[in-house]
Amino acid sequence: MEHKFIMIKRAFLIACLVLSWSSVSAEQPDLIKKLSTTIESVLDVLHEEEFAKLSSDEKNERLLTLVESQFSLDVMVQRALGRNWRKLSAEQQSEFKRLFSKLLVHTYTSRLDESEERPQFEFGDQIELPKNRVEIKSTVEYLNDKISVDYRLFKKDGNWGVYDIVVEGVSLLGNYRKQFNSLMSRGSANELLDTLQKKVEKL
Amino acid sequence: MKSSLIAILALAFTFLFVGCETTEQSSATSSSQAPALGSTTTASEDEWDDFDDEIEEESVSDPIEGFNRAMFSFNDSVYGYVFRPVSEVYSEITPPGMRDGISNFFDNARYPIRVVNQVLQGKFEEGAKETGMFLVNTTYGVLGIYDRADEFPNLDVPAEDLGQTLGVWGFGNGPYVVLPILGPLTVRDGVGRVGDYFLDPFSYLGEWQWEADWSAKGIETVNALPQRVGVYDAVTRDALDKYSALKDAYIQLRKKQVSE
Repeated sequence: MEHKFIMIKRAFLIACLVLSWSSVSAEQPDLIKKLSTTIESVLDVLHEEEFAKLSSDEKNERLLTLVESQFSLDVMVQRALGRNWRKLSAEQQSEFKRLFSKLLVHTYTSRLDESEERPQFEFGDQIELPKNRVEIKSTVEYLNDKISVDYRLFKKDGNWGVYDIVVEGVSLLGNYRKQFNSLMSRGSANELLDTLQKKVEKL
Repeated sequence: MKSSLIAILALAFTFLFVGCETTEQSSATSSSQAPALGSTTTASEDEWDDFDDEIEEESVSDPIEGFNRAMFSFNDSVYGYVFRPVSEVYSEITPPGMRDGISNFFDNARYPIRVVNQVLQGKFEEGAKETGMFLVNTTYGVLGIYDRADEFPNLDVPAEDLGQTLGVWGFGNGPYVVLPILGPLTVRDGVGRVGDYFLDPFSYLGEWQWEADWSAKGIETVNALPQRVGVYDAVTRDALDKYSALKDAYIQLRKKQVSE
């Protein structure tokens, strides 16, 4: 009788432990799932038959919505300028946001569009980063090469969003930051906006 | 020939000691300042401080930026007018299996460079695996033409070169240089390439038959063009300042390789 009671207590304790552990990381497997669903949806728009008849503007709109749902474009845009963000007036900031968001979405999705066949993503580990951020590792099979693509997410107001993509060790945001630093040191903010404008028009 | 190479090595070594990694001094003052007019900070500045620092820290000194940018423009034209068209034609007329075969053959033969550098970095287990992979590819992979890494994933270790070894030993990058045609380089990687030259079996072909090493180099270069052009385009196509984009991509890629 007593023995049974101890067993039940033990089982209960174990159950509590398992539950508490899983509720802490319960969010986490969801992150990978959410991310992979969004990416598959993006790939659908780019590669699947049913979307082939959409105009490129319509496609871009869908892609923008999809990307916005998972990626913190606001944060990415601001972080890309870094300390230079403060050097812009309010008008310039909103103009920059508008243009650079377009460029970012295009940069990301055009990579997925390059090959004839649909790229296969394989998701790997999820790593905790300092300051409540998370890195999700994945690899992509591209032209017989395995390319590592890591997504970095942060949490704001209870929602997780992607703020950086690291391809083979090269951070997308870091790369743009270096470019903007260089452009800002060689010219004015308006010139930067001009360059950005011209680039986006050519897309 | 060899003695002048050694002279270049020696010269470059002095650059390594002189040129240390400098951090770009941000002209903006500390981020604890109140936001300027009109800035809408959607995330608090302190939250992102470490991200900012991480990026600023990685700046590599560029003392000859004017020269580098000029070289970059020159290379960009070479890519546009020569490399890309040649690589497109080459891709069209050769089956992908053949291109892979050729590049696999050259990669496999570069085994001495990889294994020596793995040992120099103290990566003995990787060195043993590299040796295993070399033996498998040379035999089962028919002189390296077929890369059997998929069938032996545990033998597939990251490639090492002398530039990475120097990085592991603690040498900083040194100044950034863009060479005509050869492209971006840091002084450390440049020294690495010169050192690896002596371990490269194809460097000694010239002693056997003088045309042989040039033809081997030629074949390898043309064969590698589609991939090289592909990477170049991927990095610069969506860039606003192509020069900075390439420089950052090169530095970050090398950094990742050193850490592997």
